Parts: sequence; C-alpha cells; structure tokens
Amino acid sequence: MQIDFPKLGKELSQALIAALKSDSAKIKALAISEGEQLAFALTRIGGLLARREIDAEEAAILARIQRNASEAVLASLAEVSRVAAGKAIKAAIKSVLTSSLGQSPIAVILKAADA
Amino acid sequence: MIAPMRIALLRLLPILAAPFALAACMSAGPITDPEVAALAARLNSDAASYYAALAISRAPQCSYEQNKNSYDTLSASAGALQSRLAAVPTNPALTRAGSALTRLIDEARLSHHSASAKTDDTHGVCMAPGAIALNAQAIARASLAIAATQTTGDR
Repeated sequence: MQIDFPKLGKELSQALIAALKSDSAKIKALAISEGEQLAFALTRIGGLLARREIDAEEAAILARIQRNASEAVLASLAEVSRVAAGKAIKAAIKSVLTSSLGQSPIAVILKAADA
Repeated sequence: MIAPMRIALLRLLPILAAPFALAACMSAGPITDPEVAALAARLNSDAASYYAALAISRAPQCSYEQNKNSYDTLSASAGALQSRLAAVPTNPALTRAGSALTRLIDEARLSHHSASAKTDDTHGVCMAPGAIALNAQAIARASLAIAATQTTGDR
C-alpha cells in the first residue's frame, strides 16, 4: 500500500496541534513542521520496509527513533509541558493508524510497538 | 565506486539541511546557557560527521562492531547534555527533551546493531543508506531544537 505523504503530514500536524491544545502561533508552526518531518520519516521507513532493505524489527526501532526526535523537539518549547510532548506524539500517531496509514505494513508495526 | 558514494552523500544533504534551516529560523536573542548550546551543537556535529562517513563506508568497516566506539562517544555527549539540562533546569520540559535525545541515541545504536546482526539482506552487515539518513536527521532535529532554546531564550 502506497502512503499518501502530503495527507499523512497534514493529519499528523493537525493531530499534534489538537493534542497540544495551544493558541500559540509558535507551537502551531513547530507542530506543523514536526508533523511533516514525522510523515516524511514514516513514509521513508515504509519504503525501506517495502523494498526489504530493513525488516520489521528495524522498522520498529527506526519509528521509535523518530518518535523520540519529535518528543525532544516539542519538549524543547517552553510552553509545552513535559508530559504533553510525549502524549501529543502518541495521540498523533494513533490518529493516523486508522486513516492515512490504514493497513500499510508500517501501520501494523506501529500498532505492535504501541501495544 | 566514487559515483555511488557521491550519490549517497547527495541524498543525505537535503535531509540533513532541513533541521538546520528550522534552527536558523529560531535562532535570535541572548544565549541562556552557553554550555547547553555548546554540548547540543557538538553532539549534532559529531553525529553528522559520523553518519556522513558511515554512509560511504563498506563492509567490514560499516558493521556495528567496527562502530561501537562512535556510539559510545555519541552516548557520552548525550549524557553530558542531559546532566547539564538537569543541573541547570531553566525549563523543566527541557529535561524531558534531553532524556528523549539520550533514548534516541540508544535506539540509533540498537538499529545499527540490529542491521548488522542480519546479513541476509542486500546491505549485509551495513545499515541501509536510507536508515542511516533517517537516524542522522533525527539526531540533528533533536539536538538542534535543544541548542535553539539557548539562543532564543524564550522557546
């Protein structure tokens, strides 16, 4: 299954903005940027997996790396609380598991990693 | 031999450049803790150099065993940054950012170990170039975000 990268980026960005519950323009801008970065990375991981350049275990590790990077970026904002950054990433990924990522192999891996 | 190396480097460039552009947009104003800024910048620089070299290395130099020391160095740098953030808590959330970065380095080590342990794919003991680029980009993104907090002050 081909991942719709622009759609995934938009959904992740919107989910991050909603989860962070802030009117700050700075937070919204960073949430959009981070949503796009995460979408890019998940699409690339999906591609590597589809081409069998990596296996499911490696894909899960690479996805965790990207989650940690996004959490570090969001937690670096003074307005974002310690807990909110991690929760926002989790909520954003959960939201795309049933939409943009659908039944793609990367969705299956993300679900298993979160279980 | 040279052409694939150039292609690998060219593929890395736009990915590595994106976090720099983001950090540049947010860098202005007084430095709140120069040591945090220096530690984060050094970690970013060390990781970028390491992954650029890894992207053009071949077996057996690309294997995890041959690169353990580099991960030890990156882990030590991340640990020093995390300790500094905890010792001078200008923003409590930054402590979490520091621990996320430390976890990230640990997972990057694990991903290389996992890739090298399985030699039945096209890359053998080497990591897939796409995975190298993703890990390099993730470390750059996280470390530059932390460095930027020390130059914008109010992030």
